[in-house]
Amino acid sequence: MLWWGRRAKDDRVRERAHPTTRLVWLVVIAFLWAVAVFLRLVQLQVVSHKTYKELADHQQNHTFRVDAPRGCVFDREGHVLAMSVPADSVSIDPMLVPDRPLAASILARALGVDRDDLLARMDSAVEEHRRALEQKRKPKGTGFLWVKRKIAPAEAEALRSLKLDWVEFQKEPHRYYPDGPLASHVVGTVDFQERGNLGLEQRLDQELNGRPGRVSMLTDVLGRPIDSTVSAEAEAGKNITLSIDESIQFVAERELRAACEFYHAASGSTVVMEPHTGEILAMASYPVFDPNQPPGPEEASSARFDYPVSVAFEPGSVFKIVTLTAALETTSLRPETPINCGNGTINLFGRVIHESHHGWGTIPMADVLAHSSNIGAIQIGLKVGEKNLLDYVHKFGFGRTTGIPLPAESSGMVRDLKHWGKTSIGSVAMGHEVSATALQLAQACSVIANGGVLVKPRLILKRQRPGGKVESEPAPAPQRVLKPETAITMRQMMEGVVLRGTGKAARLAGYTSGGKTGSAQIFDLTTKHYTHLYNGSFVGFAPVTNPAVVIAVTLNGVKMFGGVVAAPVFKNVATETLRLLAVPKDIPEIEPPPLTDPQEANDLSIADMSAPPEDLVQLPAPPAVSPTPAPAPAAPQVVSPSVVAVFGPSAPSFEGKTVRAVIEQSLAMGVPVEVVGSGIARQQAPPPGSPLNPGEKVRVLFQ
Amino acid sequence: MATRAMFFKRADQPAVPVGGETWTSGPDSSKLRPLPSEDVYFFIKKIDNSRVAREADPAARRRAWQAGLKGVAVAGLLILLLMPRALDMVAGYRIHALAAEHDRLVTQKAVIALEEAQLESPARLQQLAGQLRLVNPDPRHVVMLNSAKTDSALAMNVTR
Repeated sequence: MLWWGRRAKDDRVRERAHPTTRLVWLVVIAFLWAVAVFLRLVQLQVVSHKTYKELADHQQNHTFRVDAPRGCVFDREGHVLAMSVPADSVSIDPMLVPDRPLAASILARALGVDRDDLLARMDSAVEEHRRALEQKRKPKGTGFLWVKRKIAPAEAEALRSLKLDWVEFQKEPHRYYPDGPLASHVVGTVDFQERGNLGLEQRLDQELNGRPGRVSMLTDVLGRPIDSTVSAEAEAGKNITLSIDESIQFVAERELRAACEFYHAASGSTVVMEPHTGEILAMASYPVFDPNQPPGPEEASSARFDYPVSVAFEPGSVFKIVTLTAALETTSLRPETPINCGNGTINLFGRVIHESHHGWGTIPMADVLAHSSNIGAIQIGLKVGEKNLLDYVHKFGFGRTTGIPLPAESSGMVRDLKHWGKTSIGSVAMGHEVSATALQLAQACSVIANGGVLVKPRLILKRQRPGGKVESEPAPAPQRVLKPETAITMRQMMEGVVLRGTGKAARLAGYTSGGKTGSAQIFDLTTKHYTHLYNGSFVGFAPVTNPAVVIAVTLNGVKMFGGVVAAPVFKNVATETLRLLAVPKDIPEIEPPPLTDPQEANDLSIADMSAPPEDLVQLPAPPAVSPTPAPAPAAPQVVSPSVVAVFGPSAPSFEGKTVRAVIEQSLAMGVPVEVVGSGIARQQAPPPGSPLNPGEKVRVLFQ
Repeated sequence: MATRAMFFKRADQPAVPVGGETWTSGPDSSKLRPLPSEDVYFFIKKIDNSRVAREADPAARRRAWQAGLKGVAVAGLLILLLMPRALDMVAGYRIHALAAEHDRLVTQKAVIALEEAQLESPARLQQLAGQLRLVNPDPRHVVMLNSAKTDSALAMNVTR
């Protein structure tokens, strides 16, 4: 019994101990496994830490350069003049391309690239890769090939629809100029790396560009981002708001282009400026270029010159406003003071000078300006004296840059007194031996228009970083350079130029206007002689009582006077500008009579002190005006502004004709009529001979 | 009892004598081949355990509960520890998806703004006006009010 009992107890003990032993074994195995895992972890994370860290970083962590979006450029009303939009760039890995000739054909067709060139590049990359492997060196740059960068959205869409897994797309910012050539000289251009290389884009490149940032990104095995760390925040470029008005700029460019093409000018400039604040409302340069397109062989070599700012020229008679202003301020001469114009001849220090047109006897000083008498200007200059004249040349801002934020601004040329010759006083008095830009002329005219204060031209109104506060551009401090009464007197004298002088083509309907014409011979640096081509200019303002706008127009390389080629541009630009600025009219709306005799606008300054060339006295034949309004062309058609102003269609006489005859005549002439009543035409409005605006109807009353 | 011997009814047949002739060597070769272990018989011993009672262990229940609770606690702790990381990852995916969406919308907005600017280009408007045979109004038909921003704004029902 005892034996049996002991044995049973031992069995129970054995049974109890048996699972414990197994558990111990399990624990031991688990421990060993854990030790093995631990050792492996130590090996992975401590011993080979660097290697695997590099591998993991390479696979999971990516550091990107975050490009700061380049700032936009707006006009004063907020219209976009330049902006950057991400565009797709296409690249391939030639090693992954299954069939290179086929791939080249597909890409060439989709992107418009040269197939053979692309195939050659792909083959070259593959060959280089093969050679590198043979030579057991690391292949360099063979796994990546740009096909085409910054492609159009339509191209990208077409290529994506092909679902080619060996084609990669990358986003790159692309600069767009939605208005094309409009204000291209002001806004400028950028290169392929979005670095400004012209205009404001160049001058304000740093501000527009912003600061790129860097982001470290943790991605999963599929390349999806999980976490990111911004190591350097990207700072977007500032948006720049200009003082330019898109509409006024368009009108200025349209009229300048039309005039330059009509008169075969080599180049031209128009500056529209607000005289009290100095804000530039428009600045046009001819020839133009499209900043969306890279420079090509078909583009004129001088198309990218900013003529109003960078190219100085001898202003000619326009400069007489400086001479006469100096006379009003420094001498006892008044507008009514008689000036002996010597019947067109003067002996200046032994040198006989003739007027370019018929001479004047003794005329009031106001008429010297109105008729642009060179002899009169020389006489006045002699009274002013060299020192005073030079002093006022400087006071008007000539000889130094205006400070406008555009690259390559010319300061013009004003020589020191020590470099003046005996006859320099005569030359400078009528705008020779000095040079100035169109911008400087507008600035000088603003002095007279705003009551005697020199205001620096202002192109930038404000800057603003996206999401940041507005940084208004401080206006430069104005500087009084003339007595207010002098400025008012000059305004009246300049109005006389438009009313009865050489600037009749600049008369406005509904507004008073003043200005000064100028025609200066162009000096040929090759032959060292003055040519028979001229810089025809007009500088003016409107309305006279409280000028709202100053406009300077210059056409370079024309064979006509400034009063013929530039004054009509002033008229058309001023009319549109005043309408856009909602300036109240100050005189009745009467269309001024057209200029009939070009000699009325003869203001040629005597550059070489010789007789005027023969070819100046003939006007070109007016262009044929289509009798019927032609259907609008696909592209904008440019109509000469001066054609409308000087040679525009006039209302025919319908009086005494039947309704049928009137309609037939109107259809034949392309003049729309409005028939009122029946019977015989008794009255019509506007009366016969009145110039007609495009589309204007003639109202005919039948009784 | 469905043993194989019973199934093949071998119990009725005489047992093969030990040391006797085998089924292949005997005269009657038509006999069925014996199954392996055919001569082993199983018996069922009926054991009545109905009166056996398990010894009560009051601590076992507590241990079981403790073990369960500990497991739950460990699991909960693990979840608590790992949940932020998991949520962080999910949020990371979502944030970057939203950022990508934001970038896409910003780009789209820029493209639309560009398109709008191109459509409003003065050159294009002039071209359209020409196609529609529109002309500038006769200057005599244009009435300039003194100020477009103050009194005239009221007259023209301009609210801003």
